[in-house]
Amino acid sequence: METPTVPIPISYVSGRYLLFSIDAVTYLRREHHICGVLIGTLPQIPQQNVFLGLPLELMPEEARLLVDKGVACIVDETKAHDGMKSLLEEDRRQYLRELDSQGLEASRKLSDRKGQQREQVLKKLDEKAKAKAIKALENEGEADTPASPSPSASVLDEERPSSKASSRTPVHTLAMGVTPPTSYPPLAQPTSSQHLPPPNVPLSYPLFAHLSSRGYFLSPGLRFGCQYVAYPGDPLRFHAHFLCVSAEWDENIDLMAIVNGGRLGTGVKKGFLLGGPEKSRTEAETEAERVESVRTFSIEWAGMPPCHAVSGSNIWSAHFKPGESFGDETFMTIESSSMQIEFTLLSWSPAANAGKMSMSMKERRIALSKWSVKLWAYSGHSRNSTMKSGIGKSHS
Amino acid sequence: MEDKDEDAVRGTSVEPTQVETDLSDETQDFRLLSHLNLYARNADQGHPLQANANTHIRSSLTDTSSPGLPKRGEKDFEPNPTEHQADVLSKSRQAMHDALAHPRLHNLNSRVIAYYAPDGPAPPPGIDIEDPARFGYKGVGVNVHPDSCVYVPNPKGQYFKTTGQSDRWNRVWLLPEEALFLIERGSLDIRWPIEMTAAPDDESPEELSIPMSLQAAYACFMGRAGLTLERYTVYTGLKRTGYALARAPGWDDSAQVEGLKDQSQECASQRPLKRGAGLAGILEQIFSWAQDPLSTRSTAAGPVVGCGMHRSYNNIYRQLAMIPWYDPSLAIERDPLDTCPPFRVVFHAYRPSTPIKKSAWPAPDFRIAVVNTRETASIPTLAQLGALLESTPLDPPSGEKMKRLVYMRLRHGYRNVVMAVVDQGIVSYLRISDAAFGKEKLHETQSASMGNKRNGNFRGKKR
Repeated sequence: METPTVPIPISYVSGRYLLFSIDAVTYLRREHHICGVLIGTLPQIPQQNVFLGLPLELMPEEARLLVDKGVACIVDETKAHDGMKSLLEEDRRQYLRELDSQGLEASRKLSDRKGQQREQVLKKLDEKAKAKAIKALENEGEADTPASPSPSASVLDEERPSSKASSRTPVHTLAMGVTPPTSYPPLAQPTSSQHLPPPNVPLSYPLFAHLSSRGYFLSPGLRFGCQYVAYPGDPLRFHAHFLCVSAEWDENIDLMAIVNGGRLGTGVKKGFLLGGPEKSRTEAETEAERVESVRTFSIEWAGMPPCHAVSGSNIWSAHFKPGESFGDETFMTIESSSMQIEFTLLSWSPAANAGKMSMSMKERRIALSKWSVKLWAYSGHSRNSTMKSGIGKSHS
Repeated sequence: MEDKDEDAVRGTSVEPTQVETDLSDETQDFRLLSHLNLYARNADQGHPLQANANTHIRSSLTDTSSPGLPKRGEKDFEPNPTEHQADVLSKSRQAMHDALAHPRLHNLNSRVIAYYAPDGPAPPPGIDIEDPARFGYKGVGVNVHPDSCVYVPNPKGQYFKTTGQSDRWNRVWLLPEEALFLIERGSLDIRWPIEMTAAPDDESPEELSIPMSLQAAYACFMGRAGLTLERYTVYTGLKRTGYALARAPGWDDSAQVEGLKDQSQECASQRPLKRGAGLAGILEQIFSWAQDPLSTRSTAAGPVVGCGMHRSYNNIYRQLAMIPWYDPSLAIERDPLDTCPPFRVVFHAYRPSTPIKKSAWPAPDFRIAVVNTRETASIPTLAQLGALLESTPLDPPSGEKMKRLVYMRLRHGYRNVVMAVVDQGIVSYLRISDAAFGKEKLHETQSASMGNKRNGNFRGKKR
């Protein structure tokens, strides 16, 4: 695993962001928690969909995050490959020589491996034959069966010398053909003036960047009916914890969407996380400013309390009760004329800072119109100070 | 050795236990793949004697008596600061690195070389065709698709049974997705066109043709003639599991039905449906029924069922059936181009068992539309979905099992289409079918052959 030179070029191909270099993929995963989605076929086992290989497809959010961090740059790959036309004779020959030596090395390794495997298999056969022979001998001792020992003995005699001879003969000496994963070399890395501008990102980018800055690994969420799936560690080793959906601060959220998300999350043992920046795109000058103002809520399904009627009201109303036994959890109850749904609104913060939050949450109210919820917060403090003492900033 | 592993993997796809657990659900444990790796950096690699003792995983996998896909690895709930966890993680990452770093090699005996043709199909250099129009595109061959961009001068091997089309000089022309898939799986060695990279004064240009890298192949083929990454992801996903695929007539998003060109920008599904029998027509029926006094004449004044002798419940039910229902078998078939992209069939998929003749593709087993979640954020409207379904041929439930089981019939429907929804490389397949609840009269459950004669009970009254 070599560390690639930064900025890492991200290939922009037909409107999508791809990575072809294995070192870049490993590095970004290890150091920047960017996983992407592998979409290629693994040449060693091509007929299955369980393990996939390069290229790695990056979400525009991922590419943008890396560019903003200065770790990566965007390269228009189609344009870059026009450079093949102006390749120098010298470079071409050198490149072909290099491929040739790679092919030679591969074929040498392959033949080594084949030899090893053959030896192993033959050794096993040997052992089996020996065991058989011993067994046969024992059998012979007990019951006088003359037929069995002779074939096994002949196997022992014939197999051994031939196996030793064949395992030492080299199988391949010619170089194999190689399809390299990337085109650099023979192409020269594009200069910074040829880089494309940072990718356009959807409105959900601040939530993505916020969670990523908190150390979460994020992957596309269609599988779980959300926008992003958040993993606490590398998805190779850990289960996802949150199903994330982003919303603008003033955006009306369908109450059914919250209920659906909550139920879905509970069904797959994950929390439903709703979040977004307080500042809209018109209020903030840069995306980075929006990322700063992100606040997140996670919703857990608490159960179905008995129905009880609230007469004369078709307005959903909700209120917080400070949750004592749950640390910084707070209950939210939504009532309507005929039914009551209760779920937990969990202020989301890094585990280390749990418990700091309950005070400010106590004063918050949530008003819900009939079928759409507008999350808005007001408290004794100004909005800014709430934000500072609130969930989004508790990390510092 | 690679072939052997491939076979082993293929063999298990029919095993029932493997099918039940959806392995692709989460990220896989690449450590379970290390046995396949040529370049695995294990210290014990060089010493077969130790290899067996050290890694039980590998020994269990190399054991040919239990071939199969490695199962999903165990995962932890959340990170903790133990060294054990860090160790396992770094091993997993190393294994993933090794698996992905595996080179695409071409054995000299079996390698297939192809050439990239940036300008599309063309006859071999030096050959002039007198009457090009007679032999399809540019006189190359009637079957060769104009969007093809890679040719294989000397096709051999199993891969060309269902991919590519041969021209008049026995070269096989590949579409961009076909070529890209073959180079990606390491089965094709595509070269840059000689005239593009070699200087003209070279003595042996054949030897100096430069192999295309995977990256170059993506850069050149992706976006070519309507090939999006989403369509390609669906294509490879299905190819890897053994399906054969062909482009459907609706491949080109901008293509429209001849007669509709004047209303060019207006999408088919946005035009009001006046046909009556379509999915949307049912609403019209309800309204017209409610307004038309004639249809309710007999029941306007009295009870729905009416007075008199009632000898069977079936008659009563039949008289009670006054809600119009949609009969998909009567819907008029649409032209595949009379739909609204992306809700349009772009791939025809064939099961591995379906015999395929490349020059005349049979009727497809599945019709697939590809939708990108980032471009199409909402689910299709009823009109879009109706148009999509009506563009597929009638496929009524048939067979002994369908006749017997009413829910199977409902699930199968009368028309069906597969929608592949792609979210940044992750594909979900949805099968959408046109169920006919009105055709299933539950009050006549005893026989399965009730179908047609009672089909238009209400309808008959109305017309």
